[in-house]
Amino acid sequence: MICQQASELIPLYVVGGLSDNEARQLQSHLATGCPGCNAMLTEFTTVGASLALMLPQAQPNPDVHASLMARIARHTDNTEPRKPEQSWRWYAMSGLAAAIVLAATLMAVSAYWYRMIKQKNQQLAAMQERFDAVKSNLNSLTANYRSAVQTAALLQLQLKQSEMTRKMFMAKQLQVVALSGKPVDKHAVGRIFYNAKTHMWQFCAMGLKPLPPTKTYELWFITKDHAKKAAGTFNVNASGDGMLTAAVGQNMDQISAVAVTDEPAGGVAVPTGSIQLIGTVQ
Amino acid sequence: MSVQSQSADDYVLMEAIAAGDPTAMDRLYNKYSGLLLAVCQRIVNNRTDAEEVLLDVFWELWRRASRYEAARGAPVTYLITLTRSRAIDRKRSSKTGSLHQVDIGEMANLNLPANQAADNPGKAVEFAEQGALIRSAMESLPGPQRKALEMAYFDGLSHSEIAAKARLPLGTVKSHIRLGLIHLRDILRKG
Ligand SMILES: [Zn+2]
Repeated sequence: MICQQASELIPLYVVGGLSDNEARQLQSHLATGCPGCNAMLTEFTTVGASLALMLPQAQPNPDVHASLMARIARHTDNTEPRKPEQSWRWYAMSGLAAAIVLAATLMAVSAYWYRMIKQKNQQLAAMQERFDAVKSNLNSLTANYRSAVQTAALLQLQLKQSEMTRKMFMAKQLQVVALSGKPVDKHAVGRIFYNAKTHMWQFCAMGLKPLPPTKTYELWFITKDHAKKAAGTFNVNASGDGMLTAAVGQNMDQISAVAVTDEPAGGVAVPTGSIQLIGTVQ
Repeated sequence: MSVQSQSADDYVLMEAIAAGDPTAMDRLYNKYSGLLLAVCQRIVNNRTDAEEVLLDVFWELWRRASRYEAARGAPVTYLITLTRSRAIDRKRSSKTGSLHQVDIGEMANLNLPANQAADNPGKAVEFAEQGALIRSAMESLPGPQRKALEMAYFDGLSHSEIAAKARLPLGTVKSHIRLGLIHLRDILRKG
């Protein structure tokens, strides 16, 4: 069918009365999406519907409204048990029609809002859940970040220490003092590396027993006249290794021996514990 | 002015009804039940049947509001078209349904009931203006054109049934209807 034939049938189509064959042909042309003919159909549908406006308006019985809203209320609130369908005529002649309309409308409206609120609450709960998940991700990222910062600081420190150690071991005037754990534990050993030029020394211990938190190891420099000078406290890790770096207050020439004792945490001025390591300065 | 120039509010109501909002249905009913009942009564020619059709139309609208396509015309056009179609179905299926032959030109001279659309007087005025425009347009048509149009639209008669009743050739009936609607369209366009 071409547009000209279609446009002749469209006015007839909107008021009904086309033969089945004509109607089918027109419908198949409209279904092609032809914009001109579809626009014409819309316009003539409107013209046809306008015929209704010349009728004097009627006033429906309020029972029709009541019956409609009651049906909608039952339909909307599907949790309410279904009652047998009653004809709207049941309401006819009832003086309560207006009240029934109001009640039915309120029922339908409240069921609608109940459904809407329930739906919104579900959406809210889902959003809260997503928010919590994001928050927990953020917390874990923050923790990862903190731990990375700590690791970086630690690595920096270790780098600095290893640089110092390297400098110390490469010094020409390096003196080594060997300490042994023979009296208590033959596996424990210690070394002091002393730089006579910078007066810096580094002490390392290996194989010492880890101490409880209430105790610490303390290093002593013993002078030739048997005075015991506290040189610092240190702790060892789980494998028994510990380190101590310091500048010597006096010339190492005055030192005849070096010892390590176990002391109360924080250290003491005069040794009170037992000797764990000992070595003589050559 | 035409049914097309109804307020944009109708589109909002149709959407709300499709979403299941009963207040929107309540408002749409209050706005159009008087008009649509008039269509039902004119077609089925029986008050009780007309009110049953009206209830069915609004119930169908509630359950299938999503069928409405805005591209096919304004909501009120859809409502009138749906109502006409259901009323013609009822008339055809009803054994008591008899052909209604009241001259619309005469009906136009009847006064509207004083209490029509009581809770929306503004709306009643608007319909009255549009109604007056359509009535005068119909009155300006030659009698045979107007009758053919009424028999097709309100009595749901086929062209050949109209031809038989009016004792006119089929082609003449078709041309009456076509010319009548084109004339009406031209008046509404100027509206
Ligand atoms: Zn076309």
